[in-house]
Amino acid sequence: MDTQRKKGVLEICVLAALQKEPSYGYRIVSDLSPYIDVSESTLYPILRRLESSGCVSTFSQEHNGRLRKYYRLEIPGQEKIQQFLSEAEEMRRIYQYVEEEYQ
Amino acid sequence: MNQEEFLQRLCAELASLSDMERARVMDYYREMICDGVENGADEAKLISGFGSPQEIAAQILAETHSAVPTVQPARTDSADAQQVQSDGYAAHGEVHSIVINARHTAVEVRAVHSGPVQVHFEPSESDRVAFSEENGVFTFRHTMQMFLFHWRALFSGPRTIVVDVPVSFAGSLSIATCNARLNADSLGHLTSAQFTTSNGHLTLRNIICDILSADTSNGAVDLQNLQGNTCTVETSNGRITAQNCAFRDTLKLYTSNGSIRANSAESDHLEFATHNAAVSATIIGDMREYAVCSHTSNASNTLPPELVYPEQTKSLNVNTSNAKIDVHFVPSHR
Repeated sequence: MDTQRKKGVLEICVLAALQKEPSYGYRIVSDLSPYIDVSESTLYPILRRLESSGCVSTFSQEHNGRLRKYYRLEIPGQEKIQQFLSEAEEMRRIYQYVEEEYQ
Repeated sequence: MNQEEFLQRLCAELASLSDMERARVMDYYREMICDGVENGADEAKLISGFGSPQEIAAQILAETHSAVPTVQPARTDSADAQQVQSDGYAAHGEVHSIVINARHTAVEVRAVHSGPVQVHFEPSESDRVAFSEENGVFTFRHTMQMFLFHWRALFSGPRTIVVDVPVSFAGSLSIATCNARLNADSLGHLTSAQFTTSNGHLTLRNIICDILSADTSNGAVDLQNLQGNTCTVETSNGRITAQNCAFRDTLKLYTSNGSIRANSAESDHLEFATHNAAVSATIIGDMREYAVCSHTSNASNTLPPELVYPEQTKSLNVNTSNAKIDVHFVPSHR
């Protein structure tokens, strides 16, 4: 996928991965891998940005004697997902237009 | 590249970041490696998938410089909406038991009017922190990794683990640290509390607790306005000062080579013991109700060495050596 487009979509994907329940770095990467190419290093700045903007919050829990950081979806993050989904119709029409013009 | 080399090089590449930011990145990758290996991934392959430390650092530094200002997320889904600080470890549910275990770091327990049980602490490179909340038990564990101890940390000034306890908290509290002071103030409805440190001062003020125990070594203990059922305080080589401590059943103050001074102490069973140091106290109560045993050597004593009658239900035991005992009963105003 084009880098710029991927960048916009990746953030939404990370938020979506947190919809059902809070998750942690490694699991987010493995949950998203079937759908989009994401590396651990690409994920870090996204998580950091989402935390800074209040879209996710973090908490830590002990796991096997070490600390694991969990990310939880917050209301601003939920709103971003809703915004993305509401754009689905518009996106579909744009694809259709490009496809038609391309013929 | 192996884990250690990767982390070391990454840490070096991130030198220009703040300690806090750098620690975040290091924790992220350390955790990623642990989780990966735990799930059967090959360490070297996993690490090469991260990219080179230079590339990682370059990306992070680029992001940091165009970063959005930090906004604290507001948690509106709990009864008392409370903002969680980025250096805060906060409880999310009902907590009936607080356990804090720290090493070489001062702990301060203070009351907050609203909000959750919360610990404020900014871990540095040398700190390892584990926090969990399960079945109403809030646990915060802190240790230090001495081999990562930077000389810088010595000069960065004393750090404190601050524990916020809401005034409504009614449960048990266990705080332990070492080589550091421990303070607690304004805790209203504790069922039990345990305060432990070593080589540090212990200061407890304005606490209502059924069963209270506190111990330190080589440090003074300062007690003020404490109430409850039983209280046992122990130190060595340090004085104990108790002002206005009323415990229905037992009040025991033990030290060695340090004076005991208790003003307005009240309890059915009092025990003050030390060596080579004076004991002075004013006890609220009627001396006739108390079976009194006191002992010292080479010094004056205001108490009888032994005055026990079978019908006495209360007791006072004072023991020291080579120092005076100056204990008086004062009538209660109730």
